[in-house]
Amino acid sequence: MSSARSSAAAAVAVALGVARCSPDVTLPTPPNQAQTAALVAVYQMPTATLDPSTIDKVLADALLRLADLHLDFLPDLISNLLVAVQRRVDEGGLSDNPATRVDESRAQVSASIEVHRICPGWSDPAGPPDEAQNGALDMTVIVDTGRLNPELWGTATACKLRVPPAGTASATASAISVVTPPVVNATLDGTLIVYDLGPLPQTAGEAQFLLTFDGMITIDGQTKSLSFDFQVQNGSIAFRLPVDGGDAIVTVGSTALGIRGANASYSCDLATQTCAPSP
Amino acid sequence: METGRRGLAAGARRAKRQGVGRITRGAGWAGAAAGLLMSSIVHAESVTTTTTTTTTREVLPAAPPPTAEPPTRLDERTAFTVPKHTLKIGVLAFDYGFAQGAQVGSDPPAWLVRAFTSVLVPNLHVKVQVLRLDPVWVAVQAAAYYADISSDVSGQLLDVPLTAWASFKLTDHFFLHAEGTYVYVHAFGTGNITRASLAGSAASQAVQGQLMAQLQLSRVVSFTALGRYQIYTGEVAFSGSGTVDPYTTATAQGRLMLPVSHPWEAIGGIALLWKHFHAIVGAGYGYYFVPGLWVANQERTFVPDAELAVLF
Repeated sequence: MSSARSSAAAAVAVALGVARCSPDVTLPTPPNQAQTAALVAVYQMPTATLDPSTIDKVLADALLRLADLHLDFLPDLISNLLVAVQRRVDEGGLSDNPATRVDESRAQVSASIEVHRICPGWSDPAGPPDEAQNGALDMTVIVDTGRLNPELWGTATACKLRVPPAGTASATASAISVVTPPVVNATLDGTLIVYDLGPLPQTAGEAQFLLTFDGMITIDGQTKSLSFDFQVQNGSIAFRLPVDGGDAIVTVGSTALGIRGANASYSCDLATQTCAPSP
Repeated sequence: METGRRGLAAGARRAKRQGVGRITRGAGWAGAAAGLLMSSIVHAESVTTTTTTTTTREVLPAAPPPTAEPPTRLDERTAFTVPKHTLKIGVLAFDYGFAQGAQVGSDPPAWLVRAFTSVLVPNLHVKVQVLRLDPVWVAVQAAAYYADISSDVSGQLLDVPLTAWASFKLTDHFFLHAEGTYVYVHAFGTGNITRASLAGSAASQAVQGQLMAQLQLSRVVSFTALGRYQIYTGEVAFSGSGTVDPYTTATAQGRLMLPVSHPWEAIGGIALLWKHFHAIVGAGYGYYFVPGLWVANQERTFVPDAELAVLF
């Protein structure tokens, strides 16, 4: 009897011990969730009322804003980051689509994934990438009860990149960049929120997202503090432009800009810098 | 009277065989009559004499009194074990009684998972009876199931059900078997954690209790009724890191959760326990618990219960 009692006590002790050792996993809360969701809604339904008499000024503001967005390298940087995230999420057998329908009768995974990506750098020396030299991007992705949260967030720390990418012979336009740039050396420091507008991409060209950036970008030694957002969807890029207390959405094309308001849409020719209502 | 005559004749034959007849041989009718008389007297004595002679001449052991063969015990979900030096090959488990009240075995169904998925689940269990005080028996079992759930990312899963049974013989024909199980699950690395799930369910930390009544109608036939309930359901936590490409590393941590916190099942059945063959058939309702792993299905369904085993 004594042996039985001691065996039972040992079993209970082991059980309690291992139960206490189980790690407590708490998912982090994405920052600015409500604001980001509201921003996504604005891109779908602009709130600015466009006045035909002031549309030329709106176009001028859009062109000024366009210069700060660094569409020559930022879309590619984020798209490639999302491809890496997709690879990791897929390897874990997790959902890579925020629109996934979850079967609630099955076991579900909740997870947070921290992705650390060394930036491309200004040069491409042989050997593994040097984080101290190139800087890095750190992003957090969460899968909540089987569903990918569309919001990814993180920071860029002295993240260096070159346009065109180091190692390429000439300035070749990327899959989704619309501005063919001169060679620039850029450094990013700041916070990023990426909102997935579709499944995580397997290639950079498939990426669909909304990016908000708040921080500093240094181009060829000149640092500028910036706060902006833009959207990449279906191969085109659009950004938000405050207009008279509302927000217009400007779609970037190679020869024209589209400006959408709550009441009207315009197509503006970049060569002539004139706008005309569009259907 | 007839019996007496047969007894006298037999006595005479025995007396003759034993030489008593030689005393009367050649002594005439009187002698014969006297011989018969003597024979009957000697017969009375020869019961003892004969017994003694037989014992000394043939050296046969005394036949043991016939004893009833002990009934075959139900060793599944009870505190009983496979008999010593007996190999039991069953559909749900292979077991070998390596000592009195101790067995070691493995579950073929877990190995067979490999036939349907890419996951191999080697497993082993050891059951030891720690108390044998008729009418109470207590046994404990430790089992371990290992699954490699690696894909491009390394990951392993360990499922360790620890079980204790107490069997009570309330009457000669009625047993009560109580069971308590703690299922410890640990994930190493991350791997493809969804590969740890099976048909929508998954191994998770759990505490389960079961009560089974056994009505033993005969040495072979028993009726059983059992209820199993998962008192506590935990989560499988996992964490790990890996390299995605030369530029990217990723660290993941998370948990696997089950939608049903307190699955249960109720099963009625019949157990046919011959010495060399066991057959258990039952049916019930609830959340099917995979035997051995004690992973509960996440949908309420018809619950089958069947085991066929041959004992050598």
